[in-house]
Amino acid sequence: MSVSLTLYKNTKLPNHTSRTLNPVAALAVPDNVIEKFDLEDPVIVVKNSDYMSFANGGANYMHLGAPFNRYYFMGTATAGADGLTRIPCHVDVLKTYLQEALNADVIASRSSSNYEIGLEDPLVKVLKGYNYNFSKFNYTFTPEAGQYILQVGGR
Amino acid sequence: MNVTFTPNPYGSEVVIGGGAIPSDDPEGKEFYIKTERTNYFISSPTLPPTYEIKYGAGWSPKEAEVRGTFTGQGYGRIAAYIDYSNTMTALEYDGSTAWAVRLDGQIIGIKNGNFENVTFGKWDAEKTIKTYNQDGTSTTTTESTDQLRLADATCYPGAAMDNIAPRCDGRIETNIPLFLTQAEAQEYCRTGDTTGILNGDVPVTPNVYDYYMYNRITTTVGAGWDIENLFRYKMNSGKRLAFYLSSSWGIDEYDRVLVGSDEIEQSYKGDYYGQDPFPESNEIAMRALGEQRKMQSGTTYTPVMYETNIPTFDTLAHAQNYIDTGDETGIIDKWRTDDVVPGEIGDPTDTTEQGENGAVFSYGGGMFRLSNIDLAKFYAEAFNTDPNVMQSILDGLQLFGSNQINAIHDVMYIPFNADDVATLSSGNDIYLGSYKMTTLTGDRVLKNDKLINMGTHYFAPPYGAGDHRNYAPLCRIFVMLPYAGTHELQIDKYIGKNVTLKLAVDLTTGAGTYFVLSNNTIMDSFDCQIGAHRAITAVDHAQHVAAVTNAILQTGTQGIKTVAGATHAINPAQAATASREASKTSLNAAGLGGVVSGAIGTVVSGFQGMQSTIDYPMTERGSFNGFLGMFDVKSPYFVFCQMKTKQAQNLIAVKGKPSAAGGKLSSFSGYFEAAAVDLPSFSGTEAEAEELMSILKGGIYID
Repeated sequence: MSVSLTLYKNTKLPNHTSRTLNPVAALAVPDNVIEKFDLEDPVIVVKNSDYMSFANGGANYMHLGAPFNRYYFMGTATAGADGLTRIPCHVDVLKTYLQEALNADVIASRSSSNYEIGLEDPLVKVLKGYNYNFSKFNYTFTPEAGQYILQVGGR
Repeated sequence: MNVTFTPNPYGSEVVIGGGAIPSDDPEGKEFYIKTERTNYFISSPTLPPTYEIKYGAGWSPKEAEVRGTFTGQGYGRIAAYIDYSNTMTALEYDGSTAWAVRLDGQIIGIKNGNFENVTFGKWDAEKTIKTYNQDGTSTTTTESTDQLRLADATCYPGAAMDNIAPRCDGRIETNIPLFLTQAEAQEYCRTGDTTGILNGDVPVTPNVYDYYMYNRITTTVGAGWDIENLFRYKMNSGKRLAFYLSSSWGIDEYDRVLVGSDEIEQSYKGDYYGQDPFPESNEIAMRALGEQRKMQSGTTYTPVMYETNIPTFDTLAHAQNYIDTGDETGIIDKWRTDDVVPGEIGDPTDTTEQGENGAVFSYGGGMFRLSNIDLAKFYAEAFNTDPNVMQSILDGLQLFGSNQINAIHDVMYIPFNADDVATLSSGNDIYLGSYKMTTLTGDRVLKNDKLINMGTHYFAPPYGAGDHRNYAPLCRIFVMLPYAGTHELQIDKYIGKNVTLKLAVDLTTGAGTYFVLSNNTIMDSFDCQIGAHRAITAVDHAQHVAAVTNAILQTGTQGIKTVAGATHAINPAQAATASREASKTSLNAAGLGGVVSGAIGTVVSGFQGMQSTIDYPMTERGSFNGFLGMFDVKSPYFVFCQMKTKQAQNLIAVKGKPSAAGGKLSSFSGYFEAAAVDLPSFSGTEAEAEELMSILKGGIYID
């Protein structure tokens, strides 16, 4: 039994929904290439020379076919004295389950597209000091030229 | 009210009467102007004293009235102002000439944003002039006219010639809002601002619309707006409007579609700021944008203003059901709509009605307005050295027993014209007890029945409607009221509203109360002491000093606003943060007259890690007492204290803005950070599901 393994060079950060995947190599590898059979964190074992050619191609991302059917980020490879290089991988859940994620029912706390300017934003920095702006109603008292009110008892 | 024109050293007075009626949408309304010319005379060293020219060609006393219906279409408001031009015209007497300054009236209106002179040619009017002859008879002429002007009984209040002192008193009565200057009249036409109006308050125009929708949409946030739909709708009787959410999310449609538009009786389209009603329109906006949308073109449209009382429903069926029955099933974002289903106890209203003081002061003791010269005459006569005069006075004061001095109740100095707050009658006898003063008369206060209307101004939101930076603690407003001190106002009450200041004064005590109105509704009031009393006796003096001293001591120890004798209104800033007030009062004054000032620390939620203390920007204080108040500000000032803020220009793109929106993740674009996530279906492991939700809550870019 073999597993299809496709290596890519990915240039997008993990927290983006899109991936820019430049193919590096596509292989059909026997089971024993997968040293640790873990759906989420498999470890791939390849010959050092094979790894060197992958690395020269910039491979940092991988797709494993059935039974994995997942995309993976490739971690730090370790070359062994046995001439084999071990590459730990971790599943890219956002790419693998993108359609299900886009179908998720969500409530946003921050958004570029749907936001409310009336909500307080802690990322608005407050500088020291105030701007003072005076404006005036145009009614003027005349204390310099007032009048007198005399109150007397009488008729 | 009496108006004395300046520059005019001759003291001519014109009495303004009538009572302004709303002049917005003047077409078809009846207006009038009545004028009277009285007391016209000339004095000169070369002529017999008070050479009176009363009867002669062109200068006879006249009464004129022009009354008619306004026929000009498309005007917003009309107003009149007294054109105090320097046009000179010859006045002949005894073969010599003099010059007089002509007083005429102009009526202006605003049409299509421009001011026009509507005195001429837009009236269906009738003019009546009554001319008095020397023998006491009079002649009346009546004619039709298409003009409405004051010139037919013009007052000539001054002169520029040496040794000539013509004086012409008169009366102008009109129901057109009347102002002293062109600038004031223009401002009224433009915004409804009644600052400087001479003939009383303009009653509030009742709303002519049932629904409003204010929607401004931009393609570039922070750069104004590209689309503007500002509408008000008057419905056929009992009919409703509603929005429903369009089914196409973000593709080629705005998110709200109007239902019920066939029952719109009249549409009004126009300026959001202060004009009521908007001009009539043949347009109806069928769509609105309440949420940011990415259109099929790829352009993102963002509402920068969305305010409406039209409810939105989730489906067309629910919206139509509401139109037909009033059933609110399916209503959404009800919390976003202004004044829909507000709390009500009693009948809904747009205004708070103020009372009027009906007490009459015409008898049983007198209250007189005197100049300082007349006051001196009063004292000179009351304390006359002539024993005969003194005896007459004492005889007249028998009812006061041995405390005759108590017949003089009070002498109070006021820094305003008593005519602004009272109805007076000039030339009245002044009685001390039953002794009639012989060396002077006074203007008697008949009723203390007027409010001073200091005008109305619109308060535009500094950061645009709805922005959180418009509100405390980032933006605060204080008002400096002459004689009443400095007070913080809760900004929410006034932002985006027409703010009016009115002042009631009790002439018997000199106490006053300011009323601060928001869209014709009283929201705040502040008491003060305006009149400053002159002591009559040593006891008076001791009491006045004690009142002032106690007030200063109270202000100093409490560190806040109240002054003895001046009750303080509810300060919302106090109510909102009791801890802040406690901090404030714990700082005692340094000494007599000391007032607490300066920084009081308080933690404001939402700013953790930013700035842990917000300084108190302005020192508040209460009313002045005694003559100290005369050194206070002379006009009301609003002080806007805005904290300086900094927001990254790319904040929206990189980190979004706070949101309370919900829906499918696919309806969002750009940066997204979840407050809550539910995955209706998920084919991965439990650990992967948790990681996915954690990633969404940590923030992703949907691109």
